[in-house]
Amino acid sequence: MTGSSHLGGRRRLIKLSFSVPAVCLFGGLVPGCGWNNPEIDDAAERMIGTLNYPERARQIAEQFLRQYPDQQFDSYQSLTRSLLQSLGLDPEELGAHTIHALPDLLGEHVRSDFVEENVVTVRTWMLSRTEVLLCVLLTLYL
Amino acid sequence: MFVDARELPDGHVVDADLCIVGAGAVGIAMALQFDGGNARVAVLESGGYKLDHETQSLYEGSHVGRLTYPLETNRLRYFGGTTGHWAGHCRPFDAFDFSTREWIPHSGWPITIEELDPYLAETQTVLELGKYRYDELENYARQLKLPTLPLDSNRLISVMKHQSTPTRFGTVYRPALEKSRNVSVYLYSNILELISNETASRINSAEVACIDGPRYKVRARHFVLATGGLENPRLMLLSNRTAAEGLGNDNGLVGRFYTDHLLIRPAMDISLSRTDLDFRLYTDKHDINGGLIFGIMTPPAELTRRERLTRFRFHLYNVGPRYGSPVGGVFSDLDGAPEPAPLTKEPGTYIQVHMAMEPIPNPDAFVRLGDDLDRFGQRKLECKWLVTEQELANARRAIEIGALEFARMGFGRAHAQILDRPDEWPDAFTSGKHHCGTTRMADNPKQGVVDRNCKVFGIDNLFVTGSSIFPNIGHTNPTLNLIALSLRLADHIKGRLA
Repeated sequence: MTGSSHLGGRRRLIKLSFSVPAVCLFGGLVPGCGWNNPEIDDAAERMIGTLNYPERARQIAEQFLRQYPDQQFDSYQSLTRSLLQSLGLDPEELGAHTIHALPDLLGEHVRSDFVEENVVTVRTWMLSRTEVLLCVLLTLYL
Repeated sequence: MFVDARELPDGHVVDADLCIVGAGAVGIAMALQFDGGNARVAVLESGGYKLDHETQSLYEGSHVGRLTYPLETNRLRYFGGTTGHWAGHCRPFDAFDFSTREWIPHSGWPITIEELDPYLAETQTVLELGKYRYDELENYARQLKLPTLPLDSNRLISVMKHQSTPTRFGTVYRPALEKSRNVSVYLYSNILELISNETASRINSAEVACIDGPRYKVRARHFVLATGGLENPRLMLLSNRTAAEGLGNDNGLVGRFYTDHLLIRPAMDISLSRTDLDFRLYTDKHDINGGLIFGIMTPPAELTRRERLTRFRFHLYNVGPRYGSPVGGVFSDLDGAPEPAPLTKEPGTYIQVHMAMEPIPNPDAFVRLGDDLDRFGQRKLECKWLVTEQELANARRAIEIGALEFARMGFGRAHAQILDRPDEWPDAFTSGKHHCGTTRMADNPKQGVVDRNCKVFGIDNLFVTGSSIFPNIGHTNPTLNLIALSLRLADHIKGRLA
């Protein structure tokens, strides 16, 4: 009953790249759009590319942050690093192959969240902590 | 044969070997067991062949507490009883339902599944359910070419229910009883009181009245109460001429432990993350082996032991979306879906999950005689159904388990009110209207009203059957089980009559 394609995610990634503010595409000086570690940016894009419907994902993130005000995230870079570490990856040792594999790794991690009950309730919805953080990452990144 | 009791002379006396009070599923199923035998059986039915308001109003009563539905609407007081509008879902208890669970106070039956087993196949026939097969869901799914859900069997398993047509007992079994020479069904016969000997250890007769008609008496060697989970205790409490607290009520247990299934419908909505799922094994009824079947989900016994829960079940319904902005599609890629599920309100974007949960037996819940009187001057019932914090916690945990499992399978994300407001019963919470436990079965009179043979403790010839004798009710629907228990009782009484 299941498939494993991430074509939808890639399609979304293209859409997302056009929706990133222009200042971010050109800047290295804007906080949160650091150019000095392009692999982190690549990883962030790859990860938020697993989300469909960015506006809905952003609403989930905003609701999560309202409900859980103790959850603070400095920047998309730090959240990306945190997510990578949760996947067992070293953020400073990312290669193209690893970045390419992130959607599958995240999918597995989300499933393990539901096994281990690493979940949060966001306005009556039970979501995995990982996928909620992806929504937050998308919000921080865009 | 059938007798219109309104045409009997006032003061008439009926003599019988066995008097069965009530001609619903249980009374009719029992009566048929005696058809063609030597025993003279009198079946007393309050109504006629069709519903009438005057008779139905005899079911009126009141609730103390959270329930508000009118007591005269969910039960039907005529020949065939509540089978006139039952849904027909059937599944037998299993061995675990009969066991004593140390984490559930007052749990455990005095009998085991082995004592019910010999009667289940015949019950299946009585309910027109096709072959007695409840462990064949996987095989049937293969035959039907439908997938079962890839559940983690440590959390949930798929099991099967049969769907009765549903059998309307009043229609299906009327011809057989019309032809019977030894079973007489007395219509329009309202039993007012059981009259016992001076020590209340034996029932001598039953006082019966017709609305605006004659009163008469039934004398019998044995009496069986088969009037349901509310009227069985009511009649015992009303029969207080000799025993001031009512028959069989020396320990104050008649009417105690009133219980019912805890229903949340819907318990949750799953916003699907994929559009290639097939839930038809669970959402539709399938004709196979001469009967209709469908799948449900329930926790394995080990999970309820591990988490100290009562039992529960989930039914799936393929309904249209009730909310906008489903979240499932946001996570379609993470769930490995071939394409994102639509964000719009479209058919197939939701699956709805209904839950029924076993309650915890509670001696503080009761049915008792109130102050209001019916048209015969008989006290109406007051019912106090209680739900506890523990049961709310159980329900919340059950829904969490379901939500976790749908997401783990990569099917979607669950929306449930109880996840957001864990200290409140959700708006969709109600009772199953399966009135149970009010004359519970036990091994001694300090713990129950009837013994393992359904005989009232301390009374030689009074038996009670139906859902009122269930000490625990599991998660499954009561009808199949209460009929099987009644067939077992019929065998027992045959032995006593022989």
